[in-house]
Amino acid sequence: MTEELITVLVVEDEVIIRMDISSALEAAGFRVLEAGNADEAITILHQSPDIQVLFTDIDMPGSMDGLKLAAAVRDRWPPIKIIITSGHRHMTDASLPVQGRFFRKPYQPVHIIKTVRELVLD
Amino acid sequence: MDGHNHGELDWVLVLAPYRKDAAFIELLLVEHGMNVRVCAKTDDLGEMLSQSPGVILATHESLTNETIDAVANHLSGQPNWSDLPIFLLLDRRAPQARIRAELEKRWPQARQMFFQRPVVSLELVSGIQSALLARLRQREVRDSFEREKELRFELNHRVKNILASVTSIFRMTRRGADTIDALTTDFEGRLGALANVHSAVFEQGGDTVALRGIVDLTLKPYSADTTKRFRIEGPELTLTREAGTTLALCLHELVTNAIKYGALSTVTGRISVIWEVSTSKQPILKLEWIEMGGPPVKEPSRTGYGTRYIRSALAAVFGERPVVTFDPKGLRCVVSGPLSNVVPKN
Repeated sequence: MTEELITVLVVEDEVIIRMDISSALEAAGFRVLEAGNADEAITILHQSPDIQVLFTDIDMPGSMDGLKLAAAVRDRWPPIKIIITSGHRHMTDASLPVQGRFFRKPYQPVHIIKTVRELVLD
Repeated sequence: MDGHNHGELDWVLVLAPYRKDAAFIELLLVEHGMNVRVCAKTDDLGEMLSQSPGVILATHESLTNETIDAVANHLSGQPNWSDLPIFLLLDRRAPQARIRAELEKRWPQARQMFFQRPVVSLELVSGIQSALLARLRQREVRDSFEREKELRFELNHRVKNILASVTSIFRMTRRGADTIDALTTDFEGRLGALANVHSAVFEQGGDTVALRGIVDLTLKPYSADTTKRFRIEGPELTLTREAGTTLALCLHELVTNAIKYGALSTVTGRISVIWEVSTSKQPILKLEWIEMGGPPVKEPSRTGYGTRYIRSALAAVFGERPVVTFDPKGLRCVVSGPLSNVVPKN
């Protein structure tokens, strides 16, 4: 564990998709925390002050979707950088309701890895 | 005036402004069990047409330009499946041929039926009843079109999800594989498990699958030898498609691990798969996978795909994390959670 290990919170309800991106991010050298919905993500955010990047799907069951989660993170943990993905919604970086980056599903893990680095080292 | 709740296409709209014509017609049709609404004011016609009458009955006197236009407008907005019957009651002295020609032109999409007044009740009633039956058939056709549209959307959604899952399974299998052969074998196995559970769900109607069926189809390929290697015990349970699929993939990981390192890697090894449901007010399903008689088990140095998948997937389905124990006597995986999380709601 080094000081500069980047911590990413991955929020995705599809287990296989979540494992895939999480293991890709780990293989790239990041520390990864996983949540299956927005409520779990909020709990983890409270417990882990070292999270630097949120990577969340929009379309999830539960009280909050990924966009609401992103808005909550912007308001309550403003230093955290935000990456959003969806297979159903057609959005762009500019049309996101929060400052962040958008990727349509299916995305390539290498693009997410590159973006995490860009956002944190920016 | 109108206290009834009418559905779509199952009622008769009556346009009969002269004297008591509307009341007589309404009485006649209601006596024969039909739903009737009378349009008393031309101003209301547009609104009433928008509520989808099954049949229109119009007398000669109702055929003003305004009415003909309103009906023409309604007809032009009709979908393909809709064939609106219009019954027209004409006077004997009316210029029948001219009216027919005019209406053919103005209402080309309607099926028009002309009766000469005074009408024979039997003819009019049976004609309208038969037209209403035809309308109900059209409504069924419409519903099946809509159902088909929904199914196509659902199918698209599921195909996309499956392809995304397969892509992810491939990428993860590749990350964990040392050789192309290992990648091929592992990937084929995982895809095969997904295909088998898909077939099992399809055979049971598409939304549910039997827990025992999932266990049997996963273990069957390995039960061929004469020694009884598996002890499978538990009550009959029907799982949701999601829970069944996840469980099948988890059992596949467990069984392949057992073949490589565990109880199925020796001739003496045995495996118990046991599940039970508690009798508490909110029943708990507990499921155990217990290996014994295999080589001594060591905790692996790194968490592989299988263990990681089992932990995440079972936690997502059961709402509780499974306990995976690398007991030297044999691997154990135990998970429990509310039965309501894994069985269909109803």
